[in-house]
Amino acid sequence: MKLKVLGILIFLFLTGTAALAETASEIVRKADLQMRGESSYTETTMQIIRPDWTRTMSMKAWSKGTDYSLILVTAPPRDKGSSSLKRGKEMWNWVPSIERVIKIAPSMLGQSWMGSDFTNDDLINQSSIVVDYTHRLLREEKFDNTDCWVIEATPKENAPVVWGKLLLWISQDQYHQRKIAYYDEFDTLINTLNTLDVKEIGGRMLPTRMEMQPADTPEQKTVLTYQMAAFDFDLSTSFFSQDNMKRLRE
Amino acid sequence: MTPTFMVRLAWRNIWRQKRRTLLTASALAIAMLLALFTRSMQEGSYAHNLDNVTRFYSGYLQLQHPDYSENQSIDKLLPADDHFIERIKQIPGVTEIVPRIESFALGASGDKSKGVLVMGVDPEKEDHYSGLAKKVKSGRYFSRDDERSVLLGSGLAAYFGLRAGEEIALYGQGYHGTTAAGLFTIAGVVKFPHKQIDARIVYLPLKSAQELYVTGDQVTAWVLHGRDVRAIPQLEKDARRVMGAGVKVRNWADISPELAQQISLDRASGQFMILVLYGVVGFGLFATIVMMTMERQREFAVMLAAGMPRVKLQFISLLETLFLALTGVVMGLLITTPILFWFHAHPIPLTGDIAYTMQEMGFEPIIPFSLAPELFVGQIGIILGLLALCSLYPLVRIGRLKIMQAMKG
Repeated sequence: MKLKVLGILIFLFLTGTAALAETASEIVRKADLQMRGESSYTETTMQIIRPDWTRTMSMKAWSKGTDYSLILVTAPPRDKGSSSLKRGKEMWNWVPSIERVIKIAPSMLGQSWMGSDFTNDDLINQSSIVVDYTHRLLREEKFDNTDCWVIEATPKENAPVVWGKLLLWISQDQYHQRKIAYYDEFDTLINTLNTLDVKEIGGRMLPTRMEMQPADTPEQKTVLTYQMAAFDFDLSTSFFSQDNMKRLRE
Repeated sequence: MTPTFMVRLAWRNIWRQKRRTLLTASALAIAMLLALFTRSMQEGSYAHNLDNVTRFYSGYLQLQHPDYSENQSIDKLLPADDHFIERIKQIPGVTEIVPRIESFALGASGDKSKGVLVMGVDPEKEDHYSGLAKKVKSGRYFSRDDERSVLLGSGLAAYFGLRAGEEIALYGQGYHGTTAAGLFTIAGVVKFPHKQIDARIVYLPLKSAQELYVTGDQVTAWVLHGRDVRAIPQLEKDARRVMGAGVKVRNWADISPELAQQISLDRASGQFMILVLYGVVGFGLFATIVMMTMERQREFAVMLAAGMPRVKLQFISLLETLFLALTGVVMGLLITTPILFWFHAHPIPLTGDIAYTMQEMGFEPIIPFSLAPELFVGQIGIILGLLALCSLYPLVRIGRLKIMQAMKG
């Protein structure tokens, strides 16, 4: 009996340390991969909620690896066909109403994407969390009844990022990014992202609702809901071109 | 001894040493001349420059949506309809009412892009108010209030390598989360001496700006001007009363705090110099009063011994000090007033580099003089303050005078 208890304890201890042995960077990389796969396609709606108005947009998004992503706006009609492209470190917006491609300078990464509470950096440059930051495991904590690692991410020197620091809550069972707290260089909380409604989508269990909440205006937020997703299909890098960005309409 | 007699006595006393009195009074008068000259020039320039410089940006006052100043959101607007304008016209003392849409956008041309400050202006009213058309260095000014063209700051035009006739895209966030995107022809290039403004500003006709930002018949600010700078506090009070709680009234100092700071710093340095000057002159006045007291120890003792109450003697010495200072003030006013009036009517014209810079900034290159009564009152106040300090000495001295000792000398 005693031996058995001891055995269980040793087992728990071993698995526990095994989990701990996983580095913070490894966890962040896995979480990013979980959300986007080697390649991904998603259909989402974005709801911008303000005290005196709300606005809903629909989007399609493609990504490949950490270097390529493309977001296409499909509704409302006024913005239909607008798209954002990322290739490596460069980013562009296509504005169909004036038929112009506008380059997004690194200085504009922190600005709002299409009037939402998400920044250009948050949406187009998601994978930056893996490559542009160093990670440190702080503690373990429950979020939404799920055990999470809390990881602090600080930007590497000269990395083209807008935040001074991020805190990530990554679930231990599924490697989901469940919460992200965004801090500026003065360590002031600016935004909080909560991810909710974990369910199967595109063959994976994923949070399907993301809420971006600015810290200083509690009465406003932006909600991103996943309608459809597909992962790990063949997608050529040539898909992520300026020509294609202009061509995509639907 | 009647009071009239004491006054006559005091007056005659100060003229017992005619030359000394005249010299002391002249010192006061000249200090006053220098001080008033400096202050009048300072305040005159502030008022003059402020009137000019506020026309380009803040105005004397701006009416804004109560939440606009928080983060200059394009969602926080004021109406621009006739009914609202009628309400603004109710504010007494408003001489000009100018609508503006001020927001940000990304300017883009070729593969270059840069954050720009967009200013939507009513072409006719704005030119009348700030003389914007005169700032156009190449190309032309707006000819209609809905044309799809822009005026670019020369620094910004240089950054993009653009000239009049070419196109620039503006891209940003419009009213209630809409996308603001537009392609505009560059009508002209404007030049501002302020480098930061020059490198960021894009002017649009008001209607085009409203269309770009999908604001409908609304503006981010109503810019108000009044008769002169000194009327601002009253104008501000009246504007608050007339417009009520739904409209925020902000004055130029609130909108351009760096300008307000610059002025108060400059003003403080001028005032400091004047205080130093008065310090020196004050000691001169004090020296004269000390002499007037010391040399008459025997005389005072005799008067006290003959039965004159100390209070009366103190009163006479107080009157003497007062007459001395007043002589200075009157002399000062007699020389200063005509000089200031002359310069007020004939401001000093500037030449050379300074004049050129000022003309660039849209100022008339002159040093104007202010005749604000509070300046005069202030100087007279300072001199009377000096007098009060100096007169303490004879009062105390007479109060403590030992008759026997003083008689013996």
